[in-house]
Amino acid sequence: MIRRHQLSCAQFVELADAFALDALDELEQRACARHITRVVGHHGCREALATAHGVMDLLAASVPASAPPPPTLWTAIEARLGLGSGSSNAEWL
Amino acid sequence: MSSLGLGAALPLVIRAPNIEGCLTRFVAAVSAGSGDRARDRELLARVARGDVGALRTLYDQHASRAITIAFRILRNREEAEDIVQETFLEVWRRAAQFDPGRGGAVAWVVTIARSRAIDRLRARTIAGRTIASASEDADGLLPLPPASPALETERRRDERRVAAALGALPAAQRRTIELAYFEGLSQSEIAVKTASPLGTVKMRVKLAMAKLAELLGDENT
Repeated sequence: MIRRHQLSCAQFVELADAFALDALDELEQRACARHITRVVGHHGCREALATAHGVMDLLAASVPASAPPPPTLWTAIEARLGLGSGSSNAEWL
Repeated sequence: MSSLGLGAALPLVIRAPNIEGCLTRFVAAVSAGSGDRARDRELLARVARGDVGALRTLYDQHASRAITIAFRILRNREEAEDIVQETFLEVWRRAAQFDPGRGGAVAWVVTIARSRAIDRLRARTIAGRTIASASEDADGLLPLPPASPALETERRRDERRVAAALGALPAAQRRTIELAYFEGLSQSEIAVKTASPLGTVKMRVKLAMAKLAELLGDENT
């Protein structure tokens, strides 16, 4: 069980795979997020996470295109973006 | 809640659980190679410049996968459609942050959709989704449509590597990765669902991810 104390790099590396999978319990997930974003000077954390992300990318690309979206879905996206009026995404940046 | 109010059923094909089928689909759907990455980079650069046509192209290419992963996690058609909307809104906003060094646009889009779906799943978990209800019935999904010959060649090359790695995984490890990735379950939830000790599930995740990482290492050398 991970408590609110800061994780060590060794602890993070141990959890990196499950963290990348988003398969940790909430407390652990937050502890990992805090560690990777706030700690300066890691020992193997970024490498472990990059490796796990590589696997995640492979898994993502393996999701089949088996559910065509309904025709109205793109229209709804356009509406939410306000694209009908010719605006660009610059307003989001 | 969906703003679309769609009544028609999504043409998802639901079949019985089938580990080997999952393996086949995984193998058949491995990501495209460097040629696609260059095209993705260009598309995302155009989106970042506000090119709606480029966003539409990405949508046409990847919305189907986004809705598939969202539906598998949420088991709800309207929510899955909402997730796809949110996903492409995020793609529009964050196109400039796309990292072509990672898994290409398809991986980026699917990862965003999966992440948003998991967020929504966990937000409503208290409201009644039980682990047992994360049934195995959305396992069966149709194969990808035919790709270009060049892409097919790249996929076949990758397929052999993925097949070798996944084929080496014990069924329990494969199933653990499927539950975590495709159904969005946490390790604790997987432990309950599979009636396995949590430590065993954690070990399966680590071993399976390490094996798959080996595959990626080979692919990149």
